[in-house]
Amino acid sequence: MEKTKSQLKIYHTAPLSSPVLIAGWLTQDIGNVGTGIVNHLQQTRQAEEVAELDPVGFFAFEGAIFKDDVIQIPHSKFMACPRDNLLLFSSDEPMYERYQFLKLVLDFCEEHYGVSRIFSFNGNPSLISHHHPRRIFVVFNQEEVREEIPEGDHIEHTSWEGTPAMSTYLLWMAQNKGICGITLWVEVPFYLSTLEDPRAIKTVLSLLENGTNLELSTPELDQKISQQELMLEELREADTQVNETMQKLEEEEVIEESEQFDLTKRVYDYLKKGK
Amino acid sequence: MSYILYNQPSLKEPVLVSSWSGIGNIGLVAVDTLRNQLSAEELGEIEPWDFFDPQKARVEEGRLQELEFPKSKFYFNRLPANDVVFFVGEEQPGHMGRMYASGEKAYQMAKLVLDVAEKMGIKKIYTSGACIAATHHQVKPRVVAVASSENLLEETRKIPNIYPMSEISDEGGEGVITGLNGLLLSMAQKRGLDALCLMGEIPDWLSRAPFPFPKASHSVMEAFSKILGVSPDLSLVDKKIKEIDKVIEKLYEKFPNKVKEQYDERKSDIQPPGPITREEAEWMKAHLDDFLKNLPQKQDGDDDGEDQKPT
Repeated sequence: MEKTKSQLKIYHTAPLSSPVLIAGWLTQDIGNVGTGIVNHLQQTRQAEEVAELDPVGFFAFEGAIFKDDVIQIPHSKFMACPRDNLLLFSSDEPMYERYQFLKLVLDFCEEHYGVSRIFSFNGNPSLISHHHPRRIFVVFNQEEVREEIPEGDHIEHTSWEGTPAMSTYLLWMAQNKGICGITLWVEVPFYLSTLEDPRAIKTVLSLLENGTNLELSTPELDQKISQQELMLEELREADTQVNETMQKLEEEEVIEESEQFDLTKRVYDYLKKGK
Repeated sequence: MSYILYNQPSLKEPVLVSSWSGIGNIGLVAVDTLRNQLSAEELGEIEPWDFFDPQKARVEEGRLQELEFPKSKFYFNRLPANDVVFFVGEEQPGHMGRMYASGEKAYQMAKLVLDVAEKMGIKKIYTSGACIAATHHQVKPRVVAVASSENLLEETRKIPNIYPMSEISDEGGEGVITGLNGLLLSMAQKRGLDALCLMGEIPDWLSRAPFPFPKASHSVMEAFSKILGVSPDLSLVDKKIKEIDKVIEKLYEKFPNKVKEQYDERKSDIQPPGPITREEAEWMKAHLDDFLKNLPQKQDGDDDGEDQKPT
């Protein structure tokens, strides 16, 4: 049951000094927020892979999972951005031995790089329209964050009880090691939950920019936002039902569950399949 | 993976009374209520991290306060005869999505419980669970015993309402006690400890119900009270029995007349094989979910149960 450090394959050690860890979870990734943020940083900050965790024992190997016709193999990779002193972690959520998995992740971060702070991200499906500014709910494990990321301007320090997500478990384990951890839960219009929400990704990156002194230019994301909004406008024009439901959302009217389901399906079909 | 002991009291010929969750929560409710009634003191716990995922997080104004894991705790109590250590496992550590513990995690959990038991000088282990039986819910559940030795089984014969498995089963005392309530017995026996499992009967059709069966817990508590020489207040369990009986009676009222007539024959003849046919039992199980839709769900504080082998 005890997972050994041999499950960690280290390719090389990057010159980082007490870096910030940016963790994105690929499983049940609402609005592709976790994937989108890590991918954006990976592509724009010259990230290089430095280590990965062997998935055996953490995932079920009972055949092949595929998404968009492509086989998906569970992975858990660390990448380094020496120029920005960032360590990136991109991973599927382990199905088994979550404690051991997170322990390996944190031990690596602490022992090899002396990680000073952890940011992780989740999308939070919300009954808002895609024009609506995305709120960010901040959860943290050390009190100092309260003043560093104060409430206001769509940032909230929420109170909540429920089943913990991997990000929350990571935060708790980081707390036990004395590492400051912050999870940013960003609103995603429910009908974009299974797609990418570039506006949510951009909102989180903007907050991250302030929290890490990174200069993050986002022209690709701006382009994606415009493109998505254009397509959604086209869909509204072509589909009265979509237009009516979106109008209700914009006017903050209650919409039925069946309407939510219908809108999600129509948006998915149009944006994903071009139907 | 390890355990933590808050203190190490010197105990007089202590015995271990243990239970994990399972069918009808029969053993868990019995043991937890008993230790509560006897005001047993906390002794220690098994660290949950390697066995369970956290079940609940609490965040207050942005700050993560705590994560809650299922508890696996030890308590102790000084009694006139033997002192007692209670072990209460809120959940069985699942393996690859299974309901009951099996494989390495089950082994490690049982090992830790026995390590603590031996550290406390315990020579006799009791576990408790459920025995799925062709019985009637209005009949007082019997307590069925399986032991590591004939001598230990003989001791239980002096106690009313306890029967060796061979006396009530048409399979001659053969079977399997699934999950940790069974595994602990066999691992205890291997260490040379006396081990006895007391199982409260639960009607077969209620074994999948999402609520406890406190009537059987009551029987198990009576049995443990005799063994330990104590007289706990059973009124809380009686209250719970009344609540659950109302739910069960509502389900029972919905039985088709023919099924009800045959099922009622169990009241006068509860020896297996029951008069109800396998098809009818299957029918009742299959329709239980429909019945439950219109009834109150889980009762507070009684989540899971203990498991046993059908008679």
